[in-house]
Amino acid sequence: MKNRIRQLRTDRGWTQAALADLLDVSRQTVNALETGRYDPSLPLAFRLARIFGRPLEAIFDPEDDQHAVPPAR
Amino acid sequence: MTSELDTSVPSRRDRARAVAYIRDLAPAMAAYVVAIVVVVAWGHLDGESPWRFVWALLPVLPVLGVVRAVVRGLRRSDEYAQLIQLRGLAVGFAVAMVAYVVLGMLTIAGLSTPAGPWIAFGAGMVSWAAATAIAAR
Repeated sequence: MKNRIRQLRTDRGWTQAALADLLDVSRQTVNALETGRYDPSLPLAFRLARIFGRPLEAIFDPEDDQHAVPPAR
Repeated sequence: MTSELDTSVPSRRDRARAVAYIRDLAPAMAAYVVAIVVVVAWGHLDGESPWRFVWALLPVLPVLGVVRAVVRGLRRSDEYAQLIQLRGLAVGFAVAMVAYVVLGMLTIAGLSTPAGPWIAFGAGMVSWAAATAIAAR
Protein backbone atom coordinates (compact mmCIF):
# COMPACT_ATOMS: atom_id res chain seq x y z
CA MET A 1 0.00 0.00 0.00
CA LYS A 2 1.38 3.41 -0.98
CA ASN A 3 1.63 6.10 1.66
CA ARG A 4 2.76 9.69 2.11
CA ILE A 5 4.64 9.25 5.36
CA ARG A 6 8.01 10.37 3.98
CA GLN A 7 6.53 13.50 2.44
CA LEU A 8 4.59 14.41 5.60
CA ARG A 9 7.67 13.80 7.74
CA THR A 10 10.08 15.82 5.62
CA ASP A 11 7.51 18.63 5.31
CA ARG A 12 7.82 18.97 9.07
CA GLY A 13 11.61 18.73 9.03
CA TRP A 14 11.66 15.55 11.11
CA THR A 15 14.27 12.85 10.83
CA GLN A 16 13.23 9.20 10.66
CA ALA A 17 14.59 8.81 14.19
CA ALA A 18 12.47 11.72 15.45
CA LEU A 19 9.31 10.21 13.94
CA ALA A 20 10.30 6.82 15.36
CA ASP A 21 10.47 8.37 18.84
CA LEU A 22 7.05 9.96 18.41
CA LEU A 23 5.58 6.63 17.27
CA ASP A 24 7.50 4.57 19.85
CA VAL A 25 8.93 2.32 17.12
CA SER A 26 12.43 1.80 15.73
CA ARG A 27 13.91 3.93 12.96
CA GLN A 28 14.09 0.74 10.90
CA THR A 29 10.30 0.45 11.18
CA VAL A 30 9.78 4.02 9.98
CA ASN A 31 12.03 3.27 7.01
CA ALA A 32 10.08 0.08 6.22
CA LEU A 33 6.80 2.02 6.40
CA GLU A 34 8.05 4.80 4.12
CA THR A 35 9.42 2.40 1.50
CA GLY A 36 6.22 0.37 1.49
CA ARG A 37 7.92 -2.79 2.71
CA TYR A 38 5.59 -2.93 5.70
CA ASP A 39 1.95 -1.96 6.16
CA PRO A 40 1.29 -0.86 9.75
CA SER A 41 -1.24 -2.34 12.12
CA LEU A 42 -4.42 -0.34 12.66
CA PRO A 43 -3.24 1.09 16.05
CA LEU A 44 0.06 2.22 14.50
CA ALA A 45 -1.75 3.72 11.50
CA PHE A 46 -3.97 5.71 13.86
CA ARG A 47 -0.91 6.93 15.79
CA LEU A 48 0.52 8.17 12.47
CA ALA A 49 -2.76 9.92 11.68
CA ARG A 50 -2.81 11.58 15.10
CA ILE A 51 0.83 12.71 14.88
CA PHE A 52 0.41 14.16 11.39
CA GLY A 53 -3.04 15.54 12.16
CA ARG A 54 -4.47 13.94 9.02
CA PRO A 55 -7.15 11.29 8.41
CA LEU A 56 -5.94 7.82 7.46
CA GLU A 57 -6.98 8.20 3.83
CA ALA A 58 -4.79 11.31 3.54
CA ILE A 59 -1.77 9.23 4.55
CA PHE A 60 -2.44 5.84 2.97
CA ASP A 61 -3.49 5.22 -0.60
CA PRO A 62 -5.26 1.89 -1.11
CA GLU A 63 -5.28 2.28 -4.92
CA ASP A 64 -2.32 -0.06 -5.36
CA ASP A 65 -3.51 -2.55 -2.76
CA GLN A 66 -4.21 -5.79 -4.64
CA HIS A 67 -6.35 -6.95 -1.69
CA ALA A 68 -8.50 -3.83 -1.68
CA VAL A 69 -12.23 -4.41 -1.95
CA PRO A 70 -13.61 -2.76 -5.12
CA PRO A 71 -16.19 -0.03 -4.56
CA ALA A 72 -19.85 -1.05 -4.63
CA ARG A 73 -21.64 -0.33 -7.91
CA MET B 1 17.30 18.48 3.07
CA THR B 2 15.58 15.17 2.57
CA SER B 3 18.83 13.21 2.68
CA GLU B 4 19.78 14.92 5.94
CA LEU B 5 16.45 13.79 7.38
CA ASP B 6 16.94 10.21 6.17
CA THR B 7 20.13 9.41 8.06
CA SER B 8 20.43 5.98 9.63
CA VAL B 9 21.09 7.41 13.08
CA PRO B 10 19.08 5.34 15.58
CA SER B 11 16.35 7.00 17.60
CA ARG B 12 16.57 7.57 21.36
CA ARG B 13 14.21 4.65 21.92
CA ASP B 14 16.35 2.43 19.63
CA ARG B 15 19.36 3.17 21.81
CA ALA B 16 17.38 2.65 25.02
CA ARG B 17 16.14 -0.73 23.78
CA ALA B 18 19.66 -1.75 22.76
CA VAL B 19 21.06 -0.78 26.17
CA ALA B 20 18.29 -2.66 27.98
CA TYR B 21 18.94 -5.75 25.83
CA ILE B 22 22.67 -5.65 26.51
CA ARG B 23 22.00 -5.22 30.24
CA ASP B 24 19.88 -8.38 30.17
CA LEU B 25 22.14 -10.38 27.87
CA ALA B 26 25.66 -9.51 29.05
CA PRO B 27 25.45 -11.00 32.59
CA ALA B 28 23.87 -14.20 31.24
CA MET B 29 26.53 -14.59 28.55
CA ALA B 30 29.32 -13.87 31.04
CA ALA B 31 27.88 -16.45 33.44
CA TYR B 32 27.65 -18.94 30.57
CA VAL B 33 31.32 -18.47 29.65
CA VAL B 34 32.35 -18.83 33.31
CA ALA B 35 30.20 -21.97 33.67
CA ILE B 36 31.73 -23.53 30.55
CA VAL B 37 35.28 -22.82 31.77
CA VAL B 38 34.51 -24.18 35.27
CA VAL B 39 32.82 -27.31 33.94
CA VAL B 40 35.56 -28.09 31.42
CA ALA B 41 38.38 -27.36 33.89
CA TRP B 42 36.99 -28.97 37.05
CA GLY B 43 33.90 -30.91 36.05
CA HIS B 44 35.69 -34.24 35.33
CA LEU B 45 33.06 -34.95 32.69
CA ASP B 46 35.05 -37.97 31.51
CA GLY B 47 35.21 -39.43 35.03
CA GLU B 48 33.02 -41.99 36.77
CA SER B 49 31.25 -39.85 39.37
CA PRO B 50 27.49 -39.53 38.91
CA TRP B 51 27.91 -35.86 39.81
CA ARG B 52 29.44 -35.31 36.36
CA PHE B 53 25.89 -35.20 34.97
CA VAL B 54 25.04 -32.32 37.31
CA TRP B 55 28.24 -30.54 36.30
CA ALA B 56 27.45 -31.09 32.62
CA LEU B 57 24.09 -29.35 33.06
CA LEU B 58 25.51 -26.35 34.95
CA PRO B 59 25.91 -24.15 31.80
CA VAL B 60 22.20 -24.64 31.07
CA LEU B 61 21.30 -22.28 33.94
CA PRO B 62 22.87 -19.17 32.38
CA VAL B 63 21.47 -20.24 28.99
CA LEU B 64 18.03 -19.79 30.58
CA GLY B 65 19.13 -16.24 31.34
CA VAL B 66 20.00 -15.77 27.65
CA VAL B 67 16.55 -17.03 26.68
CA ARG B 68 15.02 -14.56 29.16
CA ALA B 69 17.03 -11.71 27.61
CA VAL B 70 15.91 -12.65 24.09
CA VAL B 71 12.24 -12.91 25.12
CA ARG B 72 12.36 -9.57 26.98
CA GLY B 73 14.09 -7.98 23.97
CA LEU B 74 11.37 -9.32 21.71
CA ARG B 75 8.64 -7.93 23.98
CA ARG B 76 10.31 -4.51 23.94
CA SER B 77 10.41 -4.54 20.12
CA ASP B 78 7.78 -2.89 17.96
CA GLU B 79 5.45 -4.79 15.63
CA TYR B 80 7.74 -4.70 12.56
CA ALA B 81 10.80 -5.86 14.53
CA GLN B 82 8.73 -8.68 16.03
CA LEU B 83 7.63 -9.74 12.53
CA ILE B 84 11.25 -9.86 11.35
CA GLN B 85 12.30 -11.83 14.43
CA LEU B 86 9.38 -14.23 13.95
CA ARG B 87 10.43 -14.91 10.35
CA GLY B 88 14.01 -15.53 11.44
CA LEU B 89 12.97 -17.77 14.30
CA ALA B 90 10.66 -19.77 12.01
CA VAL B 91 13.48 -20.48 9.56
CA GLY B 92 15.94 -21.27 12.36
CA PHE B 93 13.47 -23.64 14.04
CA ALA B 94 12.69 -25.41 10.75
CA VAL B 95 16.38 -25.84 9.88
CA ALA B 96 17.18 -27.16 13.38
CA MET B 97 14.28 -29.64 13.22
CA VAL B 98 15.29 -30.89 9.77
CA ALA B 99 18.90 -31.23 10.97
CA TYR B 100 17.73 -33.29 13.97
CA VAL B 101 15.66 -35.57 11.71
CA VAL B 102 18.59 -36.04 9.32
CA LEU B 103 21.01 -36.79 12.16
CA GLY B 104 18.45 -39.06 13.85
CA MET B 105 17.92 -41.09 10.69
CA LEU B 106 21.68 -41.36 10.10
CA THR B 107 22.12 -42.54 13.70
CA ILE B 108 19.42 -45.20 13.20
CA ALA B 109 21.27 -46.30 10.06
CA GLY B 110 24.37 -46.85 12.17
CA LEU B 111 26.35 -43.66 11.57
CA SER B 112 27.84 -42.45 14.85
CA THR B 113 27.32 -38.69 15.22
CA PRO B 114 28.39 -37.72 18.75
CA ALA B 115 28.54 -34.05 17.73
CA GLY B 116 25.12 -34.31 16.10
CA PRO B 117 23.18 -32.18 18.59
CA TRP B 118 25.79 -29.42 18.35
CA ILE B 119 25.61 -29.53 14.54
CA ALA B 120 21.82 -29.14 14.67
CA PHE B 121 22.16 -26.36 17.27
CA GLY B 122 24.69 -24.51 15.10
CA ALA B 123 22.60 -24.93 11.96
CA GLY B 124 19.55 -23.53 13.76
CA MET B 125 21.42 -20.56 15.22
CA VAL B 126 23.20 -19.65 11.96
CA SER B 127 20.01 -19.94 9.90
CA TRP B 128 18.09 -17.89 12.51
CA ALA B 129 20.67 -15.09 12.27
CA ALA B 130 20.88 -15.27 8.46
CA ALA B 131 17.10 -15.35 7.95
CA THR B 132 16.63 -12.41 10.35
CA ALA B 133 19.27 -10.38 8.49
CA ILE B 134 17.66 -11.17 5.13
CA ALA B 135 14.16 -10.32 6.41
CA ALA B 136 15.42 -6.99 7.76
CA ARG B 137 16.83 -5.83 4.40
